[in-house]
Amino acid sequence: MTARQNNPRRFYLNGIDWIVQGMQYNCQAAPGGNYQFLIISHLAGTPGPGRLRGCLHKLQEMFPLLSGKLRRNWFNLAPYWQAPFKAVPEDILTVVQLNEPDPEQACHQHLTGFLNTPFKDDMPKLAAMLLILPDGSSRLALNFDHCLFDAAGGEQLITVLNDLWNGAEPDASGFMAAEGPWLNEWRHQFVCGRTVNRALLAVRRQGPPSVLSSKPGGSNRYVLIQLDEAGFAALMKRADSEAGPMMLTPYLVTTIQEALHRIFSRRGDPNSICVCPMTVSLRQGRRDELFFNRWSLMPMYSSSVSSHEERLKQQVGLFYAYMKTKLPYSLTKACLLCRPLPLPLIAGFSQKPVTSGTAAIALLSQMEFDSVSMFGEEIKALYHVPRIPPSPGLGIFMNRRGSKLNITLSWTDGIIDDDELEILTAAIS
Amino acid sequence: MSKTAEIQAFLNKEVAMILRLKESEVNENASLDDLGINSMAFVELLIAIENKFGVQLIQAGITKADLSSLKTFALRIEQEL
Repeated sequence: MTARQNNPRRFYLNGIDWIVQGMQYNCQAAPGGNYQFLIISHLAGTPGPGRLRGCLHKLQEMFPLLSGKLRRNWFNLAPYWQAPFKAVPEDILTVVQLNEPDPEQACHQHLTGFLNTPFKDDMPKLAAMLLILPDGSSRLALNFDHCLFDAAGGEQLITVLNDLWNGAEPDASGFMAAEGPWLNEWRHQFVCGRTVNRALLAVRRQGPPSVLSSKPGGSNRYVLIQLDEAGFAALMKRADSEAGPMMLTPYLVTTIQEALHRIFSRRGDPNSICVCPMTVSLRQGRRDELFFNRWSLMPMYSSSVSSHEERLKQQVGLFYAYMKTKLPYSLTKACLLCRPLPLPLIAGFSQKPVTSGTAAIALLSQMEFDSVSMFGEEIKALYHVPRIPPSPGLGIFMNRRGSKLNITLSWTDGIIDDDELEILTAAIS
Repeated sequence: MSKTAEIQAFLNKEVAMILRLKESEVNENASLDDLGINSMAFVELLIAIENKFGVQLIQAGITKADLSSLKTFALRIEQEL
């Protein structure tokens, strides 16, 4: 019997959700915002704020778990998200009319502030900000709590919100995760744990990874790099000729790692080891995958002594080996074993072998929200801005939208300087 | 059924499974890129090929031309067997 059949307001967390809760704990322990992310849309016009507010109210009524709380079942120790019987809609939309002489810079400042604004305990884990520019265009940013959403889930929610705007009445029950507390397959979970342990030992054998900073954290900053059709085609061509066809992901990882090695070399660490946990989506394409985290990690590592060709070969080989041993899947299963652990302990664990390292990399190659318009306005750009936890403190998020690529660099203030940012952006763009 | 046709039928089935499509929805004449295969899906396909035919293609020098359709890919796999 599933959890929903037992109690329709109780949503058990999977293993990755519990690791995310650990990252959230780490973020809360440091200055700045929580573990959250923005999806920002540049719109050709401005959707009516009143109507948008109404849709956000409806959304909160549809999904009371937006106003839920983290709980633990003290009988089986499984953590779950407790949704209230009925949500009282809150005003989660902030509307700002910009009249500054440089509206783009003002937008960036507002959005950076929004990224670093934590969710209050008694407020829904979703917030929106509409920035209206003097020329009539707008920026709409939705702020998602990572404890409830992953990047693709966030886009799925935008689809629902857009449907509400267009007058549809989506059935909320179809979007709810139906998993139970996973109190079975113990042996399988331990076998998966062994696979993960072997992979982590292989990473550890490379030596201690170089880290960008041991500072406790602070506000996140971000910069967006947009590759247009021609830029993306040129990147694909380079990836095809150097790493092989269909090997864009390992190619991008290699490019980022090489930039990181250059940064470490500049800092006087010539034999650096870069460990970059890379997220991969484990979505099955089901409708009920709107909430919670359905991704996993691969710890991609490289050494500064390798040549470009060797490093490319190594990353392609690693990618293949991790997929062959089903490491991403095994990690999700093995993490289920961690759920009885208290949060401070899991917070320490989530900082160590996988998520700690040099930088986090994520690539969303399939858009969940692929419409060309949102709330009746043409979409000029749509991209993600993750808030990176104190460790590793630097993240690179890429989302492919049609034949264009958006790359967002997000980092904890002070982790890299302007010259190092230039090295990273030049390498990627 | 020729070996190429057998491999192509296998590829069609695997691509459909990876992309969560019906087999009839897979366009055999489209390139893998046009079918919507990304790096992760491609590696999943290579692993399925290795498990089925015992041939590892990841470092075998596959070219873009080999992936221009499921048929050309099937021919390339047959060469490696």
